[in-house]
Amino acid sequence: MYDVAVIGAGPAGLAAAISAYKNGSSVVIIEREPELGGILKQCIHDGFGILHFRKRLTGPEYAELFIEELLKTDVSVLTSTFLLDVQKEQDLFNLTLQNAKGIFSIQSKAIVLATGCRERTSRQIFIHGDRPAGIMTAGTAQRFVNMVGLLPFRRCVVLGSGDIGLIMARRLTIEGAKVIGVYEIKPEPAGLLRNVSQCLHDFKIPLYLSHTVSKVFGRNRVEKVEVVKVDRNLSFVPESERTIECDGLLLAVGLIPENELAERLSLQIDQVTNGPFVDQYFMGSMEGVFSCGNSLHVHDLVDYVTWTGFEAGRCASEYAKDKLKVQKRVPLKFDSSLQYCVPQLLSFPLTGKVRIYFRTKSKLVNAQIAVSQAGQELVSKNFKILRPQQIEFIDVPPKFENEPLEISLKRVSSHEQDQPFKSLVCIVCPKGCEIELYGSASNPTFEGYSCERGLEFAKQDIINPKRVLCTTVLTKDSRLLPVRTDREIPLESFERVMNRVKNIVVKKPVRRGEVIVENIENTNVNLVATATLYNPSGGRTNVEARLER
Amino acid sequence: MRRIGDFLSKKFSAAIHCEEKNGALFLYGKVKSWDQVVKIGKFATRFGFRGVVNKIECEEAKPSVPKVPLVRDASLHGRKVDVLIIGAGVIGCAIARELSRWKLNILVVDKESDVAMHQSSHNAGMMHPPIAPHPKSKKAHYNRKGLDMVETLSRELDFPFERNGMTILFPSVWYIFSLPFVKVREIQNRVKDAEILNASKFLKIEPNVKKNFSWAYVIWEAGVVDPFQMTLAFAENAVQNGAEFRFNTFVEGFTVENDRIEAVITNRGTIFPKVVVNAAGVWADRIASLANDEFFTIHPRKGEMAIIDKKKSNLSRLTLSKVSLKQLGSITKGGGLIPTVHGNLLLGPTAVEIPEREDYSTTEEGLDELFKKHASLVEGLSRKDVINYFAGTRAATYEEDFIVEPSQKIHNLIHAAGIQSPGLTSAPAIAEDIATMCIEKLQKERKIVPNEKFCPVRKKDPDFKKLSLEEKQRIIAKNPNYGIVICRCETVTKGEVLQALHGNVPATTLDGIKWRTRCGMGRCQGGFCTPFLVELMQEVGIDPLTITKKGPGSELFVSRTRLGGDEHV
Ligand SMILES: Cc1cc2nc3c(=O)[nH]c(=O)nc-3n(C[C@H](O)[C@H](O)[C@H](O)COP(=O)(O)OP(=O)(O)OC[C@H]3O[C@@H](n4cnc5c(N)ncnc54)[C@H](O)[C@@H]3O)c2cc1C
Ligand SMILES: Cc1cc2nc3c(=O)[nH]c(=O)nc-3n(C[C@H](O)[C@H](O)[C@H](O)COP(=O)(O)OP(=O)(O)OC[C@H]3O[C@@H](n4cnc5c(N)ncnc54)[C@H](O)[C@@H]3O)c2cc1C
Repeated sequence: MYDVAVIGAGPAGLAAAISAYKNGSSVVIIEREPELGGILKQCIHDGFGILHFRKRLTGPEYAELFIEELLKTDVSVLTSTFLLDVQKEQDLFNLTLQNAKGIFSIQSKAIVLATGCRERTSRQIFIHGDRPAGIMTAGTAQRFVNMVGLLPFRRCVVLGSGDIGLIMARRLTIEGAKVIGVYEIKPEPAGLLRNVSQCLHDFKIPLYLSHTVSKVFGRNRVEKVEVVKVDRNLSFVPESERTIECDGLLLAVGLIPENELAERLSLQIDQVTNGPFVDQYFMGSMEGVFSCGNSLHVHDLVDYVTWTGFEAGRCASEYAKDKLKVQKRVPLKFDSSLQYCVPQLLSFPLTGKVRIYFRTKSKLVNAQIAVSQAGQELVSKNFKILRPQQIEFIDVPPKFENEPLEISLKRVSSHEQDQPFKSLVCIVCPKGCEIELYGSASNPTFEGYSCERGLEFAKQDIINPKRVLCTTVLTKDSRLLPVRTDREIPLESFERVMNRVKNIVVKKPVRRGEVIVENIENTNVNLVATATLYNPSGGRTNVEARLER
Repeated sequence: MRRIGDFLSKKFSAAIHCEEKNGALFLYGKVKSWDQVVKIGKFATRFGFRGVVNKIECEEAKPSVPKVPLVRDASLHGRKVDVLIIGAGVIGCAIARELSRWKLNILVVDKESDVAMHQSSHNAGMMHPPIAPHPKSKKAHYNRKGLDMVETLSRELDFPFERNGMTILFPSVWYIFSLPFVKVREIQNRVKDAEILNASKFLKIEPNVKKNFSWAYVIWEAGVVDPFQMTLAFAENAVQNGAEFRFNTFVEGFTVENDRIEAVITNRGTIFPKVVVNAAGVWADRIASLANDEFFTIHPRKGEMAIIDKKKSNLSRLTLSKVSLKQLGSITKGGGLIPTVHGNLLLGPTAVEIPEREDYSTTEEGLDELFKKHASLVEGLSRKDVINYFAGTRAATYEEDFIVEPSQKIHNLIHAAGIQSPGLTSAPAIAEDIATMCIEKLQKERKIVPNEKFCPVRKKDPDFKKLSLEEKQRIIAKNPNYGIVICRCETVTKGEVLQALHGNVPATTLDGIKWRTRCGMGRCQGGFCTPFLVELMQEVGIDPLTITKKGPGSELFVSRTRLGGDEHV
């Protein structure tokens, strides 16, 4: 019997397990895959941890920091274990699990759902035409390219400009495939601006806004696709069809929180976020069930995922200690400028500050968001820019018992601001300012930097862009080891370095951070491993497989 | 002949020219649209010939050609067999199983890479009650007989079958006037377990049905199967009893001498069969024509279908459809809302005449029609609930009836052609008759004796999903692979996938695994499990670059990213 059972060992689940343990609870974490880390294992690119660690880490690096911390605790780790069913019986949760040892059950006082999200499929966006091989979602392609070493296309079209799609467009290009273009149905890219810059502009991959793929052709493998322009109502513009010859279609058309378990427990689901309704403790509509990470709502930054995990884990632990008391819950109110906010509910009695995450419906410039209660403004926060792609948060100290919080847009500048043509993350110091470039490349103006060195960096980037190269090398057991250059190298040297990388076979066991090749191709930077090739859960599966009924 | 030609030319304002050959009416000419081609063909059935062979061309569509396998070798060259069955759909497989009761050398060839890649998996899976077919038709006869056989077969062969019942909803009280018609048909076709319920009684059975109907005609003997599993079951039992299957094998032509097929030419070499069975589905007329026995034409009729998430399976347990005035004469032709044996709901199918026979593409219009027509039968179904949609093409002749008979011209050819809906339901009965015809022909040459080793029960590992908890525990203890879940949406284990890769008719493609295990058929549509499947296939020694979706040409990958070099660190 455990205090807290965490389902899923991605960044959300890892954080939840660690914080519940640190809060003094006995914890079990259950993961379906053989290894911990969730989706991060396949996200070998960098850019993770800017908020939490003030560093630009790769996915495996970010995950391993938490995995190592977890393995120092006494948390029970169950990998390759599938949660078949969960039921609440009186005050306890009964979890039915299945793994190579059998089908068995364990009990816990609280559960944390950290099951992540899944990708929307070609079927859910109603793509029609033939059904050949060569249609793949971006995440699946990411796994094949980054973890298995198989290339699914030579010439492909990307549909949707979600972050994973942008990242995969770059990744496929680095691996030698041709990405013909990224087609986005909306008039704005769905992913972060800096990904549009670093993934598409850097590699001269065109982005077509207000365009979509209307049909697929090919009996065996994709032979061509038909793309079409759309108008404001997303209807096809007549006679704008164009066919493109290609051998693949990569889909990056959105993520949906994975919520089978929440639904099985009959938790109330928010139709906008597709995750459960939760209060400030991340507790859903059933007592003792907590939710965090991308199964709660889809986040743009893994740092937020971790934070929600920490908080959900801590609250679950408090609940298991019987210290979390909820007498009444009131929904938050928000005006029509927001898509949604999480938490959706405020529980009383109040215990302290509440962090509200939200997304706006449209792009807002110089906006002020205010939170009030019982007609009194509690806080307000200014945002230079709010974009629907980006999650923001505001910390609120609620004051009145049993009164709803109200979030509203107080002010927004009326004049439409120019669109930056480029967005960079400054790498001069760990602060990682996002610098935006306006105007044109020949005569740019810079915004968002906070020191002279940052400005210099941005200017240099126009003449000689430098980037960290993240890729993989083969190991002797034919697995892939994620690697990166330990500093930026000129973009133009990528191809040369990649040719070298493809020739390397790592024969010895390595640890994260170890140098694989010094001064690779005379770039004055080293190629370093970004993961330790060991199975972090080895020998820790210390839950006995017993069936209690 | 001239008179028929002139008549048709005038009626359809096009130059149509006719000819009588092989007892059939041959039509020639050129028209604008495919619709016209079909209309003329249908109209021509009233002239009383054995069949209509429609050779009319049309401006808007090129003649349909079969998709052919990319392989070419001599692996079957010189093979002598007693019976060669062309087509591994449900009909070909059921015939093979039926024939395996006899001591015979049986070979089934199919141009696709697995069983049931055409109609037999792209259908609605209904075990139709024989209410729709015309009482004098072969359809009515085989439908009745087939439905009576399914239950026993599903037990012997272990494929999922459920008698869930079917309902036709009548929108208003005025439809009461059609009641005598329905009753007469019921008696003529010997429909069993049918009853008429008023709305309030029916709503007690199916409370989620929208209340805009006045009465319901329920036929309890109707059911549903997993059509792929049914086909596979026939095939695997046939293999177990000695039959052989060869895929990616395309029949290209015949050597016909003295009205006998002497040799069958394929892309894997020339085969010498004593008897040939034509079970080639949408290409059955092509086979007949290659054998010099053309007397019918298939005009493909596409049906699109949509699969609904299991979350909504509670909406209906019975198959539902609504009758409209237009269809009174042909009840159940309009498709409906059909629960599948796996707990999803299926909407469809539609029915559209198309020129391309292997056109499995889906359309926005088709999906729209499905939703307009059938989603409104129940409360609370929206497009958000769709997890997949697909299409099939029915092998309809212009006579719109089955052809189950020995060729009148070629002595050693037997046709099982024009097998469209309710072909799945009728398959067991058709197979019995075709097998008898084969034996009769073979008996003329030598004495055919029963296969003493024949076992009607399919040998197969138990269906893990259906086992009790204790049995599952026992199996996992013996084989831990059954503990490892690979497909999270449908809870498919590694053990089940390995079983599919090592069966009597093993999966050789990703779709093959999907159809056998349901891995990848759930909400994520393979997003999560495909990488695991590829790793697993690698584990059992399959080169990942040879893994295909549905046979050669549909490879999943174009290359490896790391070939391994000579810089060792
Ligand atoms: C395919 C895909 C690719 C992505 N690529 C990127 C990217 O390149 N860059 C980026 O910034 N973000 C990416 N994301 C977003 C990414 O999901 C988040 O940044 C972050 O990983 C979310 O963390 P999480 O812990 O909520 O979910 P996850 O990392 O998805 O972890 C959830 C874990 O729960 C496990 N689990 C689920 N159900 C069960 C069950 N029933 N029993 C046991 N275990 C279960 C899963 O196996 C998984 O390990 C991607 C998302 C997806 C779906
Ligand atoms: C949309 C739709 C819905 C339906 N719904 C139902 C239903 O609910 N209930 C019901 O009872 N029936 C239904 N049917 C009908 C049923 O599916 C068919 O009658 C049945 O599957 C026919 O089986 P078959 O073996 O004759 O044909 P097929 O399954 O089409 O098999 C023919 C095989 O022949 C092979 N072949 C063709 N030419 C060659 C060649 N030259 N060389 C080698 N191989 C060749 C093909 O590859 C194919 O595999 C439906 C059909 C459709 C299309």
